[in-house]
Amino acid sequence: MQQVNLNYPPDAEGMVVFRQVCKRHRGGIRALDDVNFSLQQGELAFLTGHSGAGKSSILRLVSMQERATRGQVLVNKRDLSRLGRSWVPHIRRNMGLIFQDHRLLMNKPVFDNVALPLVIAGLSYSDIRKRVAAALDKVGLGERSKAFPGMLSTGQQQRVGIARAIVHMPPLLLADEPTGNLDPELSATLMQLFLQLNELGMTILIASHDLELIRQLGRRVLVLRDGQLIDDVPARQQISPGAEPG
Amino acid sequence: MSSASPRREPLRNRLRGWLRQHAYSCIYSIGNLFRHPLATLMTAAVLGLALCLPLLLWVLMGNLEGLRKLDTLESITVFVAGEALDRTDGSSMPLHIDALINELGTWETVASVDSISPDQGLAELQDSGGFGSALELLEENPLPWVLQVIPDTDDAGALEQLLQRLEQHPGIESAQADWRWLQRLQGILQLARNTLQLLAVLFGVGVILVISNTIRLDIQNRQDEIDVLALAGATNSFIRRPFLYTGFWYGALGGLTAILILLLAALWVGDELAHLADAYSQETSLWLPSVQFLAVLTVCCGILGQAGAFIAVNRRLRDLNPV
Repeated sequence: MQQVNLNYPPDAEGMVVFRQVCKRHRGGIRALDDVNFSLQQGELAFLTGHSGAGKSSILRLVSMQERATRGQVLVNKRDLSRLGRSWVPHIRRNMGLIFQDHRLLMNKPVFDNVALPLVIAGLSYSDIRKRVAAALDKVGLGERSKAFPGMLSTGQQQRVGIARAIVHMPPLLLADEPTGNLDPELSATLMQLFLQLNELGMTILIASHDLELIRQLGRRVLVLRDGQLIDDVPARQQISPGAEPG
Repeated sequence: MSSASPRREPLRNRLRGWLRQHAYSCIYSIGNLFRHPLATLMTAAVLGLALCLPLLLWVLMGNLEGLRKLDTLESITVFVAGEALDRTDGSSMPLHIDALINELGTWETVASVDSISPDQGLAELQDSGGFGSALELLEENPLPWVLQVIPDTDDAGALEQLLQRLEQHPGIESAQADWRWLQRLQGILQLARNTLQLLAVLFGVGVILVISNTIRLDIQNRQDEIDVLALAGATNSFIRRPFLYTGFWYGALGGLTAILILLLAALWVGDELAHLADAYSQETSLWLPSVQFLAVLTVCCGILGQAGAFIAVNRRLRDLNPV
């Protein structure tokens, strides 16, 4: 597997920066309230909190699926609130997104699913073939490239989703509850995969409410409650069992 | 991230990537049509039927225009007086006929004068009129000398004056003009031309709407795929492109179907047209558009299809990027 595609120059301020970010949905429903944090390049961090705490909202703001109502969201110094619509594809091409429900194209084989970001980037077929093979090998599905997602187990589908997210080696990886539907053993395997990707230089932000798993990895944890960041636990520091998520 | 701007990519790489994306979209759209052959054929048939009506009308008009352009129908037929005198020697031109031709040739509104001797007239009648056996029963040739006067003007008033002047000439028994029915034909053709333009616009809009609706359904069926593409960083152009190709193929297939219908119709009416031409003593065959024109027509139908697809997919893309 190749190194992370460092399109972004190193930035002391951080790969992802939230400054006094508020997000309100229609009807005034508060999703995020004055959230401040910074994620350094090459860092792996977890977002945790109960359902509706704002984990997914943060990921949606970073991936420009939504815009902040107030405050600044910076991805490598670029203020997303100032970017026009035409920038959205470019921002997303420099990140990988992993979803709880995988979002695979069920009518296309695994190879085509994983190749999507490379096809979008306009790579040659020979390049695509090599990179897809490498990504599938990385997630342990090298032999299933011709299978359709419907023929795979939930865990395998999730791994296909991860392969798709990392096939172009983006500098930033966002994962929304990637282990939500998986058993503990498979969840641990996937987390090991995230750690390996992180070692390659990929900045990773994972939204998860699986406290046990988070505790085992001992990485930085951002704890959310009712749209507010209530705790920022540094790496190698344990979260107490009675903390928010659950 | 500024360093990662797509604008910084070398032009050659961008062009190569762009071509690859087109190839991907083109192949993907063709594959999509083959994956649903029945739906593709049905759509092509609907579009073909819609397009064939103005096309058939246009071909019909082309054939009628051909009739209008025949020179023999744009002349005045003059029957020379004194046939009894001429009948004695129908093969050589009498002096008074020669003088009449010379005189008419000097008139301002006359371009040229051709003569048809009684023998020539009889031979033509035997060849084309179907009176061969009846004419053999005649003891002598009853036909007079005939002059074909080609006018040098298109003005209806001047033509009318020329006809009257010819009829009043003492050496002429009668004069017949063929342009009156041609004028009526011209009027009918003009009406048909206007109707054709209206129909072409209406059916063109119809094609756009049909393809737009077909693509809209296609988009609905591939909603998840579009969402995933957008999240993976696909530009609007990338998402739009396969649908535009699909719209083009639908339009082009519709155009080809219309051409096929036209050719079948031509085969069907070809014999009837030959009979009709025979009745008018004309050696004419069915006029059909050239292969080049049909190719251009197919491409134009494809572009109409693209326009329909563009409308449908743009509406979806507006909803997709709310940020």
